[in-house]
Amino acid sequence: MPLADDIRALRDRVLSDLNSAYDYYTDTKIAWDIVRQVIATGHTFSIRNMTTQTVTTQMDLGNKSRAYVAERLAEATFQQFVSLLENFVFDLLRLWLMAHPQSLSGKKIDFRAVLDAPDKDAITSLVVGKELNEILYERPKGWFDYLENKVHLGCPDPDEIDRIAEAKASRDVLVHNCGIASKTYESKAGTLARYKEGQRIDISEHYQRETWELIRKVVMDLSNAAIGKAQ
Amino acid sequence: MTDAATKQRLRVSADEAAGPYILVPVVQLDDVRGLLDDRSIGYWVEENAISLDGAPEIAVVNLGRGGDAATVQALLDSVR
Repeated sequence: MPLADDIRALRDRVLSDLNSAYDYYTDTKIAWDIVRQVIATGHTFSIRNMTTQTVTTQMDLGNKSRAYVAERLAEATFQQFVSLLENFVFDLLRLWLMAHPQSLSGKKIDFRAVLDAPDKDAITSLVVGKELNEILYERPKGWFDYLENKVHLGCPDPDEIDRIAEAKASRDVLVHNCGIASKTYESKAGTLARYKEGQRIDISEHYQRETWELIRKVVMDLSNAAIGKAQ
Repeated sequence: MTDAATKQRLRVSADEAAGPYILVPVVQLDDVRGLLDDRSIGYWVEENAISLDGAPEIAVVNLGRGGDAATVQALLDSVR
């Protein structure tokens, strides 16, 4: 498949996955709203865990439901949005570098890897994979600088990169530090840091929605610019 | 097999994403498990049994994405 078609397919898949993740958030929220309405209209229920024999009543579940939506659901889907962006950036880079491997012509690999490879594509794939593994551990600004250096797409703009850096820093805090901001968060988030060291970070619905919109825009802009270059 | 709670036929419900499933009153769970086990049909039972408005507890038996709803329905229908 020509490179432009590959990028188009990647864009469509990631946008669909982003929509699906957002639908999961709203559908789950609706389901909890219905549960609360059922409780409010006087219905009762009990849920017995057949393994632990723990019984949860409508009162227990109703009390938990708001925190489930406001904290856990929003945090889980927010993390998914950021992961989708991260995968997209590296899939786009992989597609581009596989189609234009000349830019990596100065890279060195073990001769053993060349001997073991079935063909030139396998060697290229090995070099590209190694290159991307090194970029993966950089901060988002490093990813986008690398992308700009290789592909010259002119996007995202610096403000968008800063916002993505803050979102990625928030995601890292949720995954690696129990949601408590650290000095590392402050450093990664830069001037857009929303919290100080020791504070519990919050993924409000407004912030989650804005991040989703930003990621959609960045995926669209990068894809469309790359398709234009590839044609 | 008749649903002890509704007195209706116990039905296998379709779910394209997660595969077919059966809502089974907990009092009949062992009977359904026995039928499936005898035919070596794969399944798993959700941990939580739910009772609405004081009605009998209902458990969910999942047949998995590759579950054969028609075969299991025929099996359930073959039992009184």
